[in-house]
Amino acid sequence: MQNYEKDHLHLKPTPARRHYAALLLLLPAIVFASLLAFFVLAKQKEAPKTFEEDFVPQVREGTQSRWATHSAVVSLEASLKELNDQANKDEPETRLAPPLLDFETSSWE
Amino acid sequence: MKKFLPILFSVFCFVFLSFVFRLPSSTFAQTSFDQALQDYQFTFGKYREAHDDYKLARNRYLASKTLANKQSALEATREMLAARANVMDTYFIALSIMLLETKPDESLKNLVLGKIDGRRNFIKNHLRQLSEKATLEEVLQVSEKFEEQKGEFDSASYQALTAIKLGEQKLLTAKIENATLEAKNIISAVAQENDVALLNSWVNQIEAEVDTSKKAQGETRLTIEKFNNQRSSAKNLFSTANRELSESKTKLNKAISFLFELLNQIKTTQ
Repeated sequence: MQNYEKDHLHLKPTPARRHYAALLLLLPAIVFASLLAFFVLAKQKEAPKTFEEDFVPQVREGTQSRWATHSAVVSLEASLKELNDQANKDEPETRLAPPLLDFETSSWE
Repeated sequence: MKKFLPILFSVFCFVFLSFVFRLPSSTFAQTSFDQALQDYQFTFGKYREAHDDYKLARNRYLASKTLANKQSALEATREMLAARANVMDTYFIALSIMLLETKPDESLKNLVLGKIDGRRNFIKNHLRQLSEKATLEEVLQVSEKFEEQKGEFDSASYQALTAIKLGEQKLLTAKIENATLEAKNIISAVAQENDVALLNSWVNQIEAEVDTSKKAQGETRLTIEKFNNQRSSAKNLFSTANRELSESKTKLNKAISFLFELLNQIKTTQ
């Protein structure tokens, strides 16, 4: 037994050897996973869009533009109401008429 | 407790200043106009009371010309005349604030406020003279000088009122133009999917109404200057300006009603 250990001392697992072995195992796995991901993504990119994929963004865009127009209409309606109120305001001479004062006080006869 | 006082004071200042700077400037303008209007109404009330007292004292003196009655008449007259001058002064202050709210251009502002300042300086001198005079005859002489200025008071008042009316119409015009621009933007947004020829022709009609209104406003601007140059009475010039501005207002009202129609048409087109 002692002879066996002596003969195979160069094969005894040390921490450095364990790390090296782990790296050797992981490296092909990483390369394989990367290649797989690359091919899957490439295939997805090439694949024709489904009806939903193609149509939904267009609908969303149209809805957004309609919504923007609707908001603008609502805002214009509010501006017009404000305008109408301002146009129907009393004239300044009604709000602040010149005072009627007695300007005939100097003659006492 | 004392060491917390500066902290409390700083916090109070911070809260107060942040509140003050949050308020829009129009709030200040409105507040100061409301205050000026209240001052004017208050002084007018004082004038009415003083005028009643003056009439009573005057009639008593004219019925019986005793020294005591003359002294009472002097005091009542002086008080009424001071109240009358204060009414004019507070009226001019309120008019000035109302004018500034319409954001007039620099030349119009100088023209109208310059005239008002002239009248207010006269009132200030008048009040000083009133307090200096010791006899009824002297006080009545000072009053006569004030009454000779009635034309000038009218001129300053009606000129300011015309400038305020013009300023308000200009603000309204600017708002109508903004609303028209908003409408134009909506029309160009819906133009991709709809025929907007009719909407565009309506916009043109709105713009034509606004242009006609602006021309009438330009005429009023010239009329305002005539208050300083011409001999015609302030009330006549005010009537002329009213005619011009009434025409302008009709056009603006028409533009507003057209805008409402345009809005409804846009809604149905959408």
